Amino acid sequence: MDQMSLIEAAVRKGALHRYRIDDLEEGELEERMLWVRSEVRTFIANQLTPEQKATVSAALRRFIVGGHFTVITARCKHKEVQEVGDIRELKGSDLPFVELRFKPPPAHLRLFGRFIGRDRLFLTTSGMKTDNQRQLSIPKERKRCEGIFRACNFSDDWVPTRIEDSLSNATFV
Amino acid sequence: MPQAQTLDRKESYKPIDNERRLHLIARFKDDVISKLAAAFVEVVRNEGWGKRDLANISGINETTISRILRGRRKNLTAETIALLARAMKKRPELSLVDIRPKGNKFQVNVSSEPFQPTAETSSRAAGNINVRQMS
Repeated sequence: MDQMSLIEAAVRKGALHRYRIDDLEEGELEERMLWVRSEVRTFIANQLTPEQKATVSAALRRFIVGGHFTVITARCKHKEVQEVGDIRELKGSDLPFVELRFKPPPAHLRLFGRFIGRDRLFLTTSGMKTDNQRQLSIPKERKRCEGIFRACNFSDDWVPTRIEDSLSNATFV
Repeated sequence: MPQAQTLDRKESYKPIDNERRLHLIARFKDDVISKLAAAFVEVVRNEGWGKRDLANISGINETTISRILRGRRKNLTAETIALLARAMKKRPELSLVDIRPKGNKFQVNVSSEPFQPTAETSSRAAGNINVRQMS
């Protein structure tokens, strides 16, 4: 089965959802594709404050309509730059594993996932760290992502091996 | 200069609710912060300046700059944007995009073709957008 058929099968089973914008405006087009796991969708819809939800939705909208993104690669050594990127490639994996990080107070929200082609992102898990919570475990999130890929019969070959091949209209640092 | 036409009717409208208000503000803030962050990366690369240098140039507190770039600053003023952007060698301009429907005849969709990874991933993906005429 090809990629789209497998994705559609997973969508039919309810394992993931296509994140779409239902109020595209004049001049906006869906130039990128985004899929999210059910738990990520529920997390965004139900577990965030209205302000946090608006912040996350705005960034995901920018992603879908093809807006500019700053991507911090795993090779980036500049500490000040590392803190400002939209998407961060996490260290410790052969295949790029990324996070979108949001810092609307009081919590740090993080959405984890992998690109499954150029301008195609699959967000597999989510996490929120408040001052009282322990650090999120990246290896654990990565393992969960790999498990979700296997469960959906998704191929690792879909993941561009270089993060630079994952996104157009982006700056890679 | 052509005179503005006066309508003999009034276009209907819907008062804004709190949810829409939050979303509209968040979208604009997201646009501003992502542009400032991209400019910061550029200034680090080209000039080798960090937040401390920008604080010296702009007169904005270093912690404030850090909070702005990380999206943690709640209230961004036009003054702050103007000073920070200028410090990063950018001229800030407000762009008002007209969102009145234009009755476009074309619709662009991302192709539903499967992704076939090749060595030339990027060049293949460049042709990944289809333009089709709406019926």
